[in-house]
Amino acid sequence: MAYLYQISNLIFSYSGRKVLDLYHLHIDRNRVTAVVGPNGSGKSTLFDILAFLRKPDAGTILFRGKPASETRAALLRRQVGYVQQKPYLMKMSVRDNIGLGLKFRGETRGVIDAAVNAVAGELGLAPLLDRDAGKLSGGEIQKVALARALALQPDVIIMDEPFTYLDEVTVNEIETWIAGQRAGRQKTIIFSTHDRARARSLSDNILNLGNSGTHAFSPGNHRKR
Amino acid sequence: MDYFSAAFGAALALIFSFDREVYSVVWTSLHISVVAVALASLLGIPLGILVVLRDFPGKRLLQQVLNTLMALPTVVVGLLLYGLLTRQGVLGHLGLLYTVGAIIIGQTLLILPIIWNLSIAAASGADPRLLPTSKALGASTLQQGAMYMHEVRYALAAAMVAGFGRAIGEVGIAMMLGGNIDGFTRTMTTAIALETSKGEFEFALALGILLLATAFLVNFVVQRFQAMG
Repeated sequence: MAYLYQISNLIFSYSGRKVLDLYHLHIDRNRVTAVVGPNGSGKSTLFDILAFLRKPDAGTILFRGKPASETRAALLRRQVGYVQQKPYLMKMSVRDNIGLGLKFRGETRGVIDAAVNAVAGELGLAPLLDRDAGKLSGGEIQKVALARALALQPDVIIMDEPFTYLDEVTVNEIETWIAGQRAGRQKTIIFSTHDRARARSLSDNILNLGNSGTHAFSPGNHRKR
Repeated sequence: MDYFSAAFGAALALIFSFDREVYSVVWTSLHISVVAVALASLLGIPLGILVVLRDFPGKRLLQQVLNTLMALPTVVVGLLLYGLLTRQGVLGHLGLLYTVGAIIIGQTLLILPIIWNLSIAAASGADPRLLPTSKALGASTLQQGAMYMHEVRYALAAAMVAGFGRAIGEVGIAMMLGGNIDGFTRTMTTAIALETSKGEFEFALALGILLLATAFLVNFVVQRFQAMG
């Protein structure tokens, strides 16, 4: 099994308080990994680190087998699609939001439009494309944020609590999408949830973050410190 | 009171007769202040956003200095620049003293701290998720700055209006660096000062009304722009 992330001795602290202390962690490529843990266990911090938005205080992260150094962070970020817990949409249309990452990459209008239309069709967002992003519901925001990440066609998608605050229909849609990706084995999906039953049904691997967030273990290939 | 009403009526008559001299002064003022706001914004807005995006030693001190400079007396700017631009000054060879260019430089320096500082406040008020979202989407530092400009554009417009208000209404720099030369460097404020001292109250009042109307119009346009958001 190829590993996408190999993490060792990772420590992250906020104002002197240790929120993450991971001895050893592997995340498999082209598999679905669920991260489970209570509030304050460091799930969002871990995801920020996996998305190369935060630098840990100590530890080693290998991404695709190579060290993820600070100098490569900007480059690495472009390989990961990250949907944060409460996604922020820019004050622009849904279409422009979805195409924003491609615009940052200097893609042409034609390429951006094609990618936006394709991903909007996949997630049922086509009727919303010309709407102002500021006028969307919570579920629509979550889906637009997912579409924005998918438009970049990354092979890694990280979703922080994608089911929180959503109505049942949107939850089902996102669950179906994850299940489809799991079956296709073309992307690495990492998501967090409080719901262990959902984690079991949707993922190949489960990573449990401990109560205090100071240690981690997973039933499969991870050791408890 | 009769004197004032008569002067007010005469001033309105001057305005609506589209007196060439009055509108030449208005045009000079607008030209100078708009260019000064454009230059100060080109510098101040990116610098303000950069201060928010980056941590560096002395950041707090810089903000304190900018706060102080927001209340910079116009005559002090005029005096310092006069020393530089006068024939004996370091920049005297440029021949800028008593030109529109000199007033533009002075007003730009006067309002730069205002626009810079208010841009810091505007960018600091952006949603805290804006930066991580932009980074996660792969934005370069320049693109992150552009996203800040986009997201807080209405607050930045207010910063520019504050700068414009300070520039169009100042008299010290225009007088000391422009010299109040008729048809060349005479602005609304220097003309008002001169005409009042000459006893031409109607002319000064007409310019005063136009000065207020200009400030009102600029604020009105910006408020309409802000209402669009």
